[in-house]
Amino acid sequence: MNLPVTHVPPRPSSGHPCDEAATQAFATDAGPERALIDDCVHCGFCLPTCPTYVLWGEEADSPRGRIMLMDLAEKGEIGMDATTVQHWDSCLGCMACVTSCPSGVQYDRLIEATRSQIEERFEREPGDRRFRNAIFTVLPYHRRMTAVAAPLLVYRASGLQRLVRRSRLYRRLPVRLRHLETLSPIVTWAALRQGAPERSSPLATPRLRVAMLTGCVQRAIFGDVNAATARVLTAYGCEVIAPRAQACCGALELHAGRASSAETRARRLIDVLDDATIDLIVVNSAGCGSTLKEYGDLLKADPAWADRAAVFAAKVRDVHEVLAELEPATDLQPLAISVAYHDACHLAHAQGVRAEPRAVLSSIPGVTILEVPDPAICCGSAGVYNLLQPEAAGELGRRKAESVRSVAPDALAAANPGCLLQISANLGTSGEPIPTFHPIELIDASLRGEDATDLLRRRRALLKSAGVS
Amino acid sequence: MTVVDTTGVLRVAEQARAIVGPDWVISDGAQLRVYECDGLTNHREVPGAVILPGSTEEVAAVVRLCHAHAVPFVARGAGTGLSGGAMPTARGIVIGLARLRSVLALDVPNQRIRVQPGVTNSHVSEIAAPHGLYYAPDPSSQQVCTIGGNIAENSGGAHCLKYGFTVNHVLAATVVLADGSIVELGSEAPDAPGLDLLGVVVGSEGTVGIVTEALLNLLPKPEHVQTLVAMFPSIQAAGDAVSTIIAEGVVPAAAEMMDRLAIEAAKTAAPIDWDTEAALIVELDGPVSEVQSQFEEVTAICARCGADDVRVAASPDERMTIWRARKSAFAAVGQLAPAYIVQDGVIPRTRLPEVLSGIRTLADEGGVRVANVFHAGDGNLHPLVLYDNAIAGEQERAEAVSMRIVELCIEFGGSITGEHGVGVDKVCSMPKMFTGSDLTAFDRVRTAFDPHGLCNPEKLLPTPRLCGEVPGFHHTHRVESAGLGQRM
Amino acid sequence: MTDLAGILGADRVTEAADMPVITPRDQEEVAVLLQAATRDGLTLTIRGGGTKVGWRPAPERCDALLATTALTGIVDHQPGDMTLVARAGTPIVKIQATVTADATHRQRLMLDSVGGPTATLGGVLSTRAAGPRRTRYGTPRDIVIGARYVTGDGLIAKTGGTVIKNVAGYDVAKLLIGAHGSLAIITEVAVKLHPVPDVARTVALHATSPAEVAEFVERIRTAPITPSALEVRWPEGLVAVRVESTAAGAAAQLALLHTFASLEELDTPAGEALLEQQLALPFDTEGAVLGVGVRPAALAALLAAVEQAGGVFVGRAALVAGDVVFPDNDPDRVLRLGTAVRALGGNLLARRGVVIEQSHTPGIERLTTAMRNALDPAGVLV
Repeated sequence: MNLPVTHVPPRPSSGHPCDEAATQAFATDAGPERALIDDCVHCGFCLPTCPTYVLWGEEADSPRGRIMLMDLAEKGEIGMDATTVQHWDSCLGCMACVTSCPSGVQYDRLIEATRSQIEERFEREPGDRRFRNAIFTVLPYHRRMTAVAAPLLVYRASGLQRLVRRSRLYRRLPVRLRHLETLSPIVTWAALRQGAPERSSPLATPRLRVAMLTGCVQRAIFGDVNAATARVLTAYGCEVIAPRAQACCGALELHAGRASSAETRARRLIDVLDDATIDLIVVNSAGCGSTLKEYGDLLKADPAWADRAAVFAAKVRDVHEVLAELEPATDLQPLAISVAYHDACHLAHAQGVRAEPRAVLSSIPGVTILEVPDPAICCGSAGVYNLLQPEAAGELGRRKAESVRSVAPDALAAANPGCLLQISANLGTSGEPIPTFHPIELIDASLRGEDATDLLRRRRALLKSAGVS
Repeated sequence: MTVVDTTGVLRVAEQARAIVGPDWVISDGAQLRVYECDGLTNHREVPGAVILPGSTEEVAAVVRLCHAHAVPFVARGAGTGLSGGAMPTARGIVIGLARLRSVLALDVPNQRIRVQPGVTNSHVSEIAAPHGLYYAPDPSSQQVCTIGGNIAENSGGAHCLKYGFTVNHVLAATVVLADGSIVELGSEAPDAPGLDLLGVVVGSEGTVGIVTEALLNLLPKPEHVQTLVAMFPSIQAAGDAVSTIIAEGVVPAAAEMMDRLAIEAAKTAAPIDWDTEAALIVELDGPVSEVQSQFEEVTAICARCGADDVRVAASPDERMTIWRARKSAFAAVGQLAPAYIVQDGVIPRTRLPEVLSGIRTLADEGGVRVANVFHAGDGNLHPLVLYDNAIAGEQERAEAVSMRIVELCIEFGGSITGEHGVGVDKVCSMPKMFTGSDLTAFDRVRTAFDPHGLCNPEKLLPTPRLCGEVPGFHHTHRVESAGLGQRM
Repeated sequence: MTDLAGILGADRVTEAADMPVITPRDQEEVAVLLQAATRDGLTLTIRGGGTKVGWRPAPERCDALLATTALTGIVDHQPGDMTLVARAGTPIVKIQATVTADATHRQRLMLDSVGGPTATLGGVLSTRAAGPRRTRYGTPRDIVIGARYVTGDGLIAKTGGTVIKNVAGYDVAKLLIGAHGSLAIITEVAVKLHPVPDVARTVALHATSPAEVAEFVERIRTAPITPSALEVRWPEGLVAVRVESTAAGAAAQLALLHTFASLEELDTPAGEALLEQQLALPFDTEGAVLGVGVRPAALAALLAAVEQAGGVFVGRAALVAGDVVFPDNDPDRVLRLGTAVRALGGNLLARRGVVIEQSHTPGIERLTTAMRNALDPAGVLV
């Protein structure tokens, strides 16, 4: 991706190291492992796939540069200072570098360990700290998300949003809040009300008994996607168990360095979702799926949970992986639409799942898959990245929207709620709205024999009413 | 110990902020460290400051600052070079070209493209592809290495046997000289009058100026490509096959070889199942019937020369897999050992078997493993000397073996570097290949471009500080050549 | 007045057309000569086969000619490596004879003997001369892999090497190629050889307009055809395409060519003869000769301008590069064409009976002067 660099890198985050971290960035036996750091041979193959390097052309904002900072910090040659922390903070955690690295560097483990240490040893300035805490007080809790989403619906529907956006006050809001406002989701009453039932069964004898993750953000504002997922799995012969008692999987916290919160959530989720009767754990959100597959690693140091977590992790599948192996009970009805398929980073890079969603979408008669240029570059959503690093996320979102528009699709499909929010918001700021879907929604529509034109029209209208146009 | 004078650098950094904007001047400790080396990590030097200009004018203005304050500077592209060419000087500036990465103009009827130096090599071909054109020089790091870097090193790549090097594909360039003046070299039309200064700039390893724009030649994509990988029971047999192919008059688009150890490494980076002493990749391209008739010949030759297995790529994916295995071999070798040294020697192609056997002996004597990847068509070797720096003495032994391999190449009438450049890594081997007079002449050419010696100094030509005195090598004294003094 | 005979010995000095000629036998003698010349303030002009003297302005002052006629001989020939080393004064045709005499390897040196059979390797390099083979194999710049030379002040040095792939040191050979002997004397050259394809076939188009020529050439440039020569003669209207490949490859390419236009196939001797003619015409025809280079898309415009100026273009149609002969020697017409070529962003070079004002930018002037001072500080080589 060789677009001219117009964007400037973010200033160093204000904040300071806790005293001991000033000289020694990482605690002993914590932080990125020396052996993993040494895997990097400095070849630079990761640079062109790194979104922040693509944006800013600065070595310290590339995986190679970040690893070098880890190397120096681990050796005690540099401390945990604001500039260094900013370079690590600006990493999206998209793992495109893991895919492109010929030396097998496990960058994901390196950045997670580093982020943990930052959260423990770097004192962020109060405003930043409050904002981060606020995010993690709301997002992982679907009821709180719903509570926030409902008023947002009113805010939009009443026309208040339009007024606010035009107001001078809006322009004076801190960037982060302005961006939050832009990302206010495409909420519908239907989405808020809907969800996957606790249990759904196919008509014939089920081939598989699966537990479904309902998620936090997904559950709150994309409840209709969850409902569609349960329907589709059932249509493909699965018995679907979606316990209401489940909560957030901890992905957002894990990727942001809040490791112990994530571990707690992991234990709870394993308890709720898994038992001996469950064949597979099915996930329809890329970010969550990748974390669930890592539960074995996450809890390996806990003797009471290590084995259970490993067993659990081995059962986790992205919904497209499951569907690609099965046949639906009824025929898929034609949907004559061209679909630009967006590879969510946590599905493509983290889980290596690229072929299955395409295969499943292609099995719908009449669907043409269009490849988006520069697929390896993140859309900028990256968990809560678009909330914490709004300018970078905004730039990446714009570029992704441009790439999508360049193939002129009828629709865009992405298997992750964050990506859908981000790309929808950015598609909306340029030209005719392109309807966005989770791939499951398209399969669901096909199974239900929905009319393609209607489907697209309704989704476009929804996006328009969401102020995304 | 060198006394570092930081005042010049500080002044340049300060004034540069007004030129490029404060966001694009790096002068704080930790951030400077990430620029201390390129793809070669055993040569490191922390720069005084790093400046990232956004245009030709900004590059020129920054260089003028350096000139005014007598501060040396080093240009850097993606920092993937393998000779330390982008390693900073201790009291100098790094000028990073990563922000200059626009494609300026694609001229399809004339089959050429104008780009800024930060554009990656593969991106040029991506832009040209929809028009049935491509950019021929294809170094293995093409996804990340930049055109500016390619020009500095006169990069070749696997297909240079048939299609030549960067210098054969650069028609013109905008160059910022060491005093900050800007010249346009070359021409968009053939047969430009005057000296071929562009021909010297390409391959000058960033020591005579900074290229800020380049006009590149594009070729029509070949109608047909066919690739095979043949497994041979020995390097000798594979080498014979290559010789025979060439004797038959076939010029392969590429002929690459990997030995057992290199294949083992490549397996970690590409889904291959090759199990052999020597794998020979041969690729032919061109008009379809020409390729097909030649390919039959090549396949037959491989069989005649004792190939155990000849696999023809049956689809673009299979072809991509073969190339992925080859092109990721270097970095993948990092999975076999904690560290390695990569060499870049060249020998006459017909001496390949002897030299490889010589390398095997040196490796055994030195007690280190050497994986071999090489351009079988043109005799350019890449021995990868593996070592574990945790084992006492192993690094020294690896370096010694590495040096002896270079000397072996010279003994066989070859070169110390086929494509990676001399940089800092091989600078002290230059006197093994060139006499004092040769080096004196080189120095004169360099000084003509850069009288003050500010442009990537201490690279390419040996200095007393790095290598000791070289008999017969008379450096033009910088003060004299800059017109600042006179011999009495 | 320096005693020229005293430098290398009286047997090395002769007289020719009221100018002393010194003929060194080897590199060391060249060095001694140039050191003496530097010391004594002499000026020397290099002379090989003397076939391309008109390619640059005659020097104002010249004390003697330095002849390369004794610097001859093949030093090394490695057909297995496809390389050859020869002394600079060796005629190209002689090198060719050696290369083609090897029965086991069918190879050729892809440098045309521009100027006739006395053209030397050093001469072709110094003038960067090229002929029809340039379309596929390039100019001397693309064929030379190393050289030995002596600077104007007598320093013996080498650049490059004898292997095809080599980036060690500065590529001084590129600097010397096309420098007309003004920086250093090339004494020995390493070149790469190329295999001769199995079969060569030539077809010709008789075109009636520049547009027709350009269209034909454009189709070839964008088709899976790899001509080893693509020649044009205008306003005569001859466009010749030579394809060298395997038998099947050549047949397929020719079949494709025949779909582009109505073409006449020439038999082997006629095909060879045509290339020879293209090479010889600018030298055999009377009149002023101008060397011309324009970008590919400007072919039609160039041919039209040549015709308007009453000239004859003989050259490579795809590049575009070649010579324009002015049989009636009219300086106004030469000027008119020169202006037209410049307007097309093209380059002009003197060949015979023409003097060109090459205006370089100040930056290039400075670098050129600096380079001359670096390699020939006393200005010996004129």
